[in-house]
Amino acid sequence: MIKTFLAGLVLLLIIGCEQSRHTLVYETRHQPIQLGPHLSSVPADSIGSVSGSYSHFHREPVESESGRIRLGEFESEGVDFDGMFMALEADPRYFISDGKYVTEVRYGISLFTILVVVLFDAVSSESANMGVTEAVIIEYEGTLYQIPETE
Amino acid sequence: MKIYIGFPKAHILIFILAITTIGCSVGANVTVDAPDVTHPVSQTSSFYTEDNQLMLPGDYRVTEDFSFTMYAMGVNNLIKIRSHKDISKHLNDLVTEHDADGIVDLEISVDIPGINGLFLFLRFSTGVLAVFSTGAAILEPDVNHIVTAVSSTSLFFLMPGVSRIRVDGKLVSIAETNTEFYQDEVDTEFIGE
Repeated sequence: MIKTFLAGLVLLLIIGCEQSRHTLVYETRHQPIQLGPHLSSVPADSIGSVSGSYSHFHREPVESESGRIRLGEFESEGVDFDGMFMALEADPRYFISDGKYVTEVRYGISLFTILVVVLFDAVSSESANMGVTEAVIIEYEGTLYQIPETE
Repeated sequence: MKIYIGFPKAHILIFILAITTIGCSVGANVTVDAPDVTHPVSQTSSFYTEDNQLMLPGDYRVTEDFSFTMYAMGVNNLIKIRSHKDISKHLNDLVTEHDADGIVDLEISVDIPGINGLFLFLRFSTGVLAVFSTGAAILEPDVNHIVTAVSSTSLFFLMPGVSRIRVDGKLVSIAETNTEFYQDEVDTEFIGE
């Protein structure tokens, strides 16, 4: 298990100018994770489906005009590829193919932010800048295959 | 027994719609796949060839890095409309154009472009219009109010969002074998008596 987890690493790069970009990067030593189908005259044996997911949620703070007061900032991140890498670990001849990504993005203003702004305006002499909420979810689905033994 | 609610039904409806309007968002659901690629496309540094040979970084040569970006619209509210991006042709064209044998280290990146701010503003505007026009349609039901209420409410629930997807990768050529056969020319000279 340690070997696979060392060999399999999901690295998330956050770059970009005005918005953050979220990238899934896989690192395995000898077990490919292929997006397209496995192209071979000798088909590989299908073992089953595997999947993983990544999510990132960020709520910008409600900030006073002077910038001294910041309320309600929240950020969370979730990564779940354990099942996928545990499946690869079971046999070095396993690999993943027929990959597919299901992505979801959301951009808006949450009810929580609205309430914080209303309360802020009620108790403070300064006006408040409303922050936006962003969510990115990336799900990966693929099929686990076993490469046939060479004669 | 009659129960007096205490508020006219229009006020309740407006309150419900107002609650729905605030805390609004736009978004997009996009499926990305490549089911029709004609060469191996791997998201790691290794891949299997057509004869099931495992190619590791020492077995191929990176010929070119590539990157392309695409935008996809969708609806991600109470109503969800998912879009689909098949990047097979794009990848196939890249491999063919550069005479490569496959793609490795393919990365898929997702972010939220700034235009979603405009769609959010439009959704908020249509939401406010939906609230007031619905109230007006209830209080004074005429064709104009009803049409405005229906159209603005529909727009509110169908306002799209945009997702920006970037694909990066490396085109590779499988290295030729290092064995070279030299056929020395042998000069023969007959030495004879």
